[in-house]
Amino acid sequence: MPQRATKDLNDPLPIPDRPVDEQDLARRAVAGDRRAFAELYDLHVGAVYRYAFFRVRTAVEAEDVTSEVFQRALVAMPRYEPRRPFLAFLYTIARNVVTDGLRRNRPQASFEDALAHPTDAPGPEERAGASDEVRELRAAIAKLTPVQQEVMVLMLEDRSVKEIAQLTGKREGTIRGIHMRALEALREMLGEVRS
Amino acid sequence: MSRRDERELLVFASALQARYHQVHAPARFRTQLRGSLLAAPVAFAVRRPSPIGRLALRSALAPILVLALLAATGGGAAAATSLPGDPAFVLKRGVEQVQVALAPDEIARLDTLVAQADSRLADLETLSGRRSNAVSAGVDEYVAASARVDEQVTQVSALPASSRRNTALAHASIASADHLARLQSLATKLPDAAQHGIQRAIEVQQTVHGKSGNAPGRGGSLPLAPTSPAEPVTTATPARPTVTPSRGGPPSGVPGRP
Repeated sequence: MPQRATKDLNDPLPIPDRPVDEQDLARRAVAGDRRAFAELYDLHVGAVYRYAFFRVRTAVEAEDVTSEVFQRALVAMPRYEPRRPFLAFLYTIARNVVTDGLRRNRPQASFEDALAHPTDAPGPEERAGASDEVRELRAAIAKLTPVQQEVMVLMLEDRSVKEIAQLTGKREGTIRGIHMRALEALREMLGEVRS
Repeated sequence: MSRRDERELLVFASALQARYHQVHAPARFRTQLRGSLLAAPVAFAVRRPSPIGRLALRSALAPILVLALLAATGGGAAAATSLPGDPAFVLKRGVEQVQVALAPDEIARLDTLVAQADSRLADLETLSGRRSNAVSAGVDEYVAASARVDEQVTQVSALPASSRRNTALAHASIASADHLARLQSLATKLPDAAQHGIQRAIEVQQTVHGKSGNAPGRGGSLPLAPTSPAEPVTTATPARPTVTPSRGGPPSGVPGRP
């Protein structure tokens, strides 16, 4: 029944009993298997969204960036090398999308203005998702340099120093230094934070 | 920084992490985007069997045959892994020229040339990483490859609009946006002597991006735009994930609020 098929395709897949073999999913996605791509999407959409959320000004922009990242990934799948971690592939695209966006939006209002006068009223989910603590963290991250923002967000996402070094093309020691300086700056802005 | 300071900072970092992970993509958005990705007609077009399959196969086999000939004469492996500036690079270019010549039509030729420009950029990145003296040769080869893409984009843009043509132009546009970002990153690492060349490369890629993004017949109806047969699109309130990224001038269009 077509209606049932559509529902199956659109519903996020249930959590599997065994660990997902990402390389196998990636291989199938490269071969044109949309379900495999959808599973990869389910696995990584959260990380991509969070990355975008802390690199742009509003939740709406974060959605736009996330959308663009997966659309570009879909188009680029035939050229994707399945042995490479899929999330690294997505981050590479996300970096480009965010960088392009920053370049285009540079003359616009400051981050604080965007917080004070949001152009899109937040929905209930966004209000729930962006507590004062989160907004405060995002505003503080926005005051870091773009490189510090990038490293900080990826570290918060639990990516290893090695991975971040590969993604950004910098040495591991440099990444550690940037991370520490970014943390110091954040502590200065936020004070002590309860865990 | 003392070890104690460092430890304190790491404790602070773990507290931040708790805040960071409070953020989740809204369920409505996740579902909509998932649906639009599954329905998008553009994906995997490169791998789909087509009526010109035999010609495409011929195009794919041509470099293999040439490489087999080269291998018989002892030059194949060196050619395949060669970089600009290596003597064997001439052979590699020969294989690529055969590939282009045997492309079944202008659209397939564009795909081939885009892939070759990708390969030249990867060569350039390798040369730059090795701090090789052949960086200038790498830049020249890359500029030449980009200029071939530029010419081919002009040819393909002049063809009547079709989903295949639009997909090829979209590929070229996305590739050029990716190249621009990588070139800008490379520019910071290359020696002064190569700066002029890299700026030239950026200019050529910007032209490619402008042309491929603004080709007649592509405005507002890119193949990226998902069309879901199961869910009719309402024009009054279109869901954001179904919006096609804008295709303005360089750099690549990025979704964002006007």
